[in-house]
Amino acid sequence: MHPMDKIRTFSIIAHIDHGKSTLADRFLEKAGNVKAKNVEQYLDQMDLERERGITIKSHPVSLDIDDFRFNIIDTPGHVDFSYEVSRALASCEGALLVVDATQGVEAQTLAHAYKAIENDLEIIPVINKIDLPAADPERVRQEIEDLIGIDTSDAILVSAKMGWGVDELIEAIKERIPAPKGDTEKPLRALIFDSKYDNYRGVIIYVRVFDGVIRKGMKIKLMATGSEYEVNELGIFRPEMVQTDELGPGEVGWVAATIKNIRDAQVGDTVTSAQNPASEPIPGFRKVKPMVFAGLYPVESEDFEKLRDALQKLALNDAALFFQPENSPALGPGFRCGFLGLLHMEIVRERLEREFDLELVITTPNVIYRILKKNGEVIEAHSPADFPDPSEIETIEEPYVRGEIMVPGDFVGPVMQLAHSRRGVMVHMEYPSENRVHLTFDLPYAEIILDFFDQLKSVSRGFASFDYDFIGYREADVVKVEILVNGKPVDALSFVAPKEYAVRRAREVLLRLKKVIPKQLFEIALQAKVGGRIVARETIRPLRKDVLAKCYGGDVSRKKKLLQKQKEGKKRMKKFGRISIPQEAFLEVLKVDSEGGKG
Amino acid sequence: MIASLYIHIPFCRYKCAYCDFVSYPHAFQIDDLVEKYVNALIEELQWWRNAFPYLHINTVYMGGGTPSALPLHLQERIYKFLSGWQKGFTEFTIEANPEDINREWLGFLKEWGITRISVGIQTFSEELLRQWRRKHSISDSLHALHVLSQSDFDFNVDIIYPTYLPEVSDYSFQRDIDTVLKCNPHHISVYLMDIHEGTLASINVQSGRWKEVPEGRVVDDLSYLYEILKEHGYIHYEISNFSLPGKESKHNIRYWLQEFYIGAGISAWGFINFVRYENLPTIQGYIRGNVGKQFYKVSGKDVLSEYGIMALRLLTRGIERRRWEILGGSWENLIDRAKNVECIDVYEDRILLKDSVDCILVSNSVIEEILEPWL
Repeated sequence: MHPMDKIRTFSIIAHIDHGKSTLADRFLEKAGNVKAKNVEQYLDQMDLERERGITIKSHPVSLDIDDFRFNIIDTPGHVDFSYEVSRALASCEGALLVVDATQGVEAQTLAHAYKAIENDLEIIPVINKIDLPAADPERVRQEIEDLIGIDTSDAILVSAKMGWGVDELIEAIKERIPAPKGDTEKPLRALIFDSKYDNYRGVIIYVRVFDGVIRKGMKIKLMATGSEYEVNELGIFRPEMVQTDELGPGEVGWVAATIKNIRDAQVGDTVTSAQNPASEPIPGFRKVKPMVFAGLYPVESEDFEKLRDALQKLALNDAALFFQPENSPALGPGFRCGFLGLLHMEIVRERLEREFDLELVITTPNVIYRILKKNGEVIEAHSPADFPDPSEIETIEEPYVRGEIMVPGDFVGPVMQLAHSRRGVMVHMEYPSENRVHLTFDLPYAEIILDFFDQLKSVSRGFASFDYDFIGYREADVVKVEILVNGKPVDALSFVAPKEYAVRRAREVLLRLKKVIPKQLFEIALQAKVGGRIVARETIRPLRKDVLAKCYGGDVSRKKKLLQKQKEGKKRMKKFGRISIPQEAFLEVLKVDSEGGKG
Repeated sequence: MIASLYIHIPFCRYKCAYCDFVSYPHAFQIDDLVEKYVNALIEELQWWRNAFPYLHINTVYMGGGTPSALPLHLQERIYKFLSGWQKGFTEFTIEANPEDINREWLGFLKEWGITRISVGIQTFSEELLRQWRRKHSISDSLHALHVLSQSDFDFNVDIIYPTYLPEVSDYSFQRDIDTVLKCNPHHISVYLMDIHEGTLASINVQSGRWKEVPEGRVVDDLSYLYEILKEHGYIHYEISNFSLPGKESKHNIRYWLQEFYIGAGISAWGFINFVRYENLPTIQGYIRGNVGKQFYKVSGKDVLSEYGIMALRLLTRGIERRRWEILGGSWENLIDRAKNVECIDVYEDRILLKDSVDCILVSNSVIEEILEPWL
């Protein structure tokens, strides 16, 4: 056990490219006992994490610098994982708030900083990249004070790249971040802040010990589920997993206890001793709850079992991935899946396609609507198909988020217009520094799940940053729009829209479907129905004309290639009876032009 | 073994706007390039003759390019070689441009055993001929057709259906067809113009000078074509080909039924013993005696799909059960698919593409739909 007064546990909060990994590299160099020479090496990242520049899993590391033990808990960097972030922060005593001296505070940094404050962490402002000619530490200092409300008189000026200010920062960590408080004699309480599945050892839980000691061979109990296990192995992160005999108060490490299912060891749960259990768990536990739902269907119905296997494998390592079989009259057998958010959905889809070689149709994602029926029953609608008949509905509620947008002053107009078109209500606007505006909107979550961020980037020429937090359910005036193809409702194309825009969106969607559904051998009628009434109609005329080229001698090879190409093109389409609908069609449904909602 | 022979003459006096074939429009001005080519061609033919001493050549087709533009003494060398190889052929076709057709030449061809002329009339619109960069006049065309109809050659008329049109006042497809019919050809081919990248035509299309002919007009025109030809006793035996009874192109039918044929000359294709080959298109190598050939083994599945693609275009034959099974295909599987596809008539011993404009215009999609498992 490391002496508690020499342990400092903290997280690094930074926007992408503000220098988090370079700073972490400097810490690694200072620590004698680490083999890895840079962060790239120590972060065993998924390709997806690297490509998208985000962290999905926690990457903790324990470094011994002088006689101190620094536990750095790297946190997931996307709002979809904000609960995981909050649990990682709850495992720390402090946080480094790294801000680029040439840029300033971004929305995501802001959201994480607020969470750190909520968790009572000691925050050390670190102004990085001061070696750059464009660095303006004074402006950034002012911005941090205005936006986050913390004193920046003792902010550390650093150039992680040049190594400037790093020693000073290390001293500040030792002095200003509090040592953990805990009692080895009290019953064990350790917080699970992440977990992963290992083929040989089962679920490995990542823990921060608050009280008591975990030892090898000990019987532990997970307080939320009540299940008990025996600890086989435990240790710390160097950053590879190194075995130790015990973990005491203030220590951060891993525990393997032949836990078979990752759902039994949920993030935020408290580990205690089975023999001498703690009376109260560590507060803040929340069952993981998916926020966005979408249908996942194999393009080839025979791949259903393959998809089930793949989802099960992914779920081993992803407690937030929820799925249950669903049978769509149009798409055949598939799964209704729940995700933390759009990014999470994208990640799952990409992994299924890349790692499991599946061709998928994904239906338009939707939020969970709460519907109060006239008979007093309350239902949660996870898909438009769950909507009862309009005559049975008393009220509908939908989830709202509070969105924080940071944007240069020049773009305030277009951003406000965009937010307004998405039914956003502005709750706050401030100017933290010259030509930077901090806008706060309350928005229906449904309005941002598909392309809000893309639109925001496009109306601000890439300058806006965005983050959000759920603030609960509010009443919504929405209706279900059914799309019919040749008279048959295609559940996978149906969507929910605000009543006032429903007809217009229905028309837009039909026009877009008309563009992406290729002409076929017969006429295709597209219709949109709202509350039992057809509100829009489009016709895809049958294919009339292939070119009747000559077909002699060698032409047959050319002809065959042409037909093979045609066949390939159809592969990525889903068959509805005889109609082939390309995958894009399902996502086209919810795309809305930036001015689209208005009207 | 029986095979057909295709001979490719890659020379033209001019290049048509829509043409993407290998043709050397300036070759006639280059010293003895054409002569050297004919030498090399005869060498290749000699090679085939040595390689397959027991080969019986059923039909011959000399295409291009513009074979009729070849100087007479060079034509003569080819014909002489062929008649030395074998006495007479079931059918011997030569492609010709209207301006080359006259009584003297036909008399010369008759001596050498040529039986059939395919003449590239393309259209009777003066303005279109100009835009297509064809250098013959309407009176050349009418004269050629008159001479042919007076002769005892079988002849085919090639007509192009323009899928894109410049704004011309004198064009009418229906009038083109009526004019052709007055000359009583034995055979008529009508192709939809295919716009190939890199051609003058594609530039005209891209720049908007040629506008796409509306679908409705295409349907009307082709409906007229099918009807009027039927009235005149022509059989619509292939998607783009019509003939009087017994006057189908025997040579082309052999292609469509996957029979063997030799292709000689640059960029010619051949199909022998289930190997398809392509002569490389470079003339310089060819005249030095390097006949670069690219071979493609046509495996079991390919034999079926290629037969299927071709056979469905043969509107009166279709995919025949016996043949399909001989090539190793399962008739049941084929029928299973065919049943659910529009535009297909299923019979006990064959499946046929419906002979209607609507079906023929989507034949690529129909064929792909049926043959998907074999493609």
